[in-house]
Amino acid sequence: MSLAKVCNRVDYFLEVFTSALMVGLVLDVTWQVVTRFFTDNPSSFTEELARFFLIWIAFLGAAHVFRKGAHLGLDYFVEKFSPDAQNKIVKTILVFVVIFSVCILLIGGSSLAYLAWDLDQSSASLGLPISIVYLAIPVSGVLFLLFSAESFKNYSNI
Amino acid sequence: MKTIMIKLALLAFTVVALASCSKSHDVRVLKLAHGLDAKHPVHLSMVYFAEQLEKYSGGEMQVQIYPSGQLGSERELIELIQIGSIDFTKVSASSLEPFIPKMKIFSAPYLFRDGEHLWKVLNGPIGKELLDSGTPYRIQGLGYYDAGSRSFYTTKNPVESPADLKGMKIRVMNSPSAVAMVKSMGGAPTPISWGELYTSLQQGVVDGAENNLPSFYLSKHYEVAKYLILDEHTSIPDVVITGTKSWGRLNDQQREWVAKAMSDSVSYERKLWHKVSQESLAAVREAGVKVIEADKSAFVESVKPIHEAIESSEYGKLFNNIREVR
Repeated sequence: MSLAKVCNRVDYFLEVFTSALMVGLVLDVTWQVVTRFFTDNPSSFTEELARFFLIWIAFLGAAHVFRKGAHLGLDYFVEKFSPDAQNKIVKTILVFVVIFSVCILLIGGSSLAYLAWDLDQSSASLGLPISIVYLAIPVSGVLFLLFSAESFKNYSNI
Repeated sequence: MKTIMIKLALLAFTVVALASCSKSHDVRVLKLAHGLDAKHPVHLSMVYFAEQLEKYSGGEMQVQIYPSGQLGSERELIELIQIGSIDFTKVSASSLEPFIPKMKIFSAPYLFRDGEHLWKVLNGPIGKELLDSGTPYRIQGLGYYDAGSRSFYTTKNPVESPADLKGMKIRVMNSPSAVAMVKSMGGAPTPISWGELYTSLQQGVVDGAENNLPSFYLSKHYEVAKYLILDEHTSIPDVVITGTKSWGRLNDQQREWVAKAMSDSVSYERKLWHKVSQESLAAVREAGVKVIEADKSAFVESVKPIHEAIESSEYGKLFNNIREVR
């Protein structure tokens, strides 16, 4: 299977998964509001669950949006260069993305997730292992690397 | 030209390296971070700790303080302690619960008969054991700070007994033990973040909340909550912790200095806390808050099911040992 095909599949999965999380988030917060205002037994887990959903949505969504090229960017100056120079600039940026993904997301994120798992840290109200939440960071790092590789290949073929 | 640049760079590097070298041999700078304001009694006691430590060590050990949550919230600070990025922090025992399960015991309502009982336990073998119980999680407790007792305050109706709490929405910290306590007393526990509480009280999202006296005063919640019920349901102490990594970097002499400075700081904090609590109570009275001396026995009675549940849990023995301290 070619790299592009793998990326398409992964990307499709990301889109479905983050959308599902988003639906879950909306239901969760609705439940919080309903139980707080209409019953005498306000739900105590909803706030924490919403936070965890949001963290996963943010990290997976960042990778998905990176592939789409929809992140915030200033292209005013870049567009003043020749197409050839633009290609070089994009590649340089990709190198920085790779460095960030490896050092911060992959290495930093996995050591954080490992620390929380090793020392048994659990969340305050649901009692879930915090390492599950932190796992979003290295997973996002792997996705960033995959999509950077694809992007790099595309720019080299032009 | 190029060789000159390289030589200059090398020279600069050597100078910097030598300078930092000589410094690290003479002075050890330790980092202390906490989440409270620089006017809070806890911060002042931390400053006192830093001064005492510098005095005992003859300037060999210095403490750099980062207040007001500059380096993160209490949960994040505990993680930084585990990693070894900071050397000391002060957190509430309830923040330690997800890290050190044994700390849950402090969240039990009416665990202590009074302040005297509390400090007898904390200064005794049980307190010491709890401070050391974090070592498998890379946390070493150093001492306890007084964090007072938490009491209810309400906006609309005065509360004299647990029966008055029925159907009232009470804001609690987001912890299962706090939720269980208010439920057991008959109220409706509502976890809301501390920062949103003022407007929630004002708009009637909740009918009341609970905290210690200085927090009630400093948060200005007395402006909207006009009834303070002194039922003193929980006394959760603050714990000053260091990481086993940071602790391991100190030699025996240095540890002794830290322990000595800590115990000075603890007695300083207790006096200061007492003073600030009294001042807060006087200030809220002045502001028109009706202070109700609650009949504690009715509240104690209402949390009986929680006590029974703890007794039959894995912390039953610890619970009974604490209760038996005279």
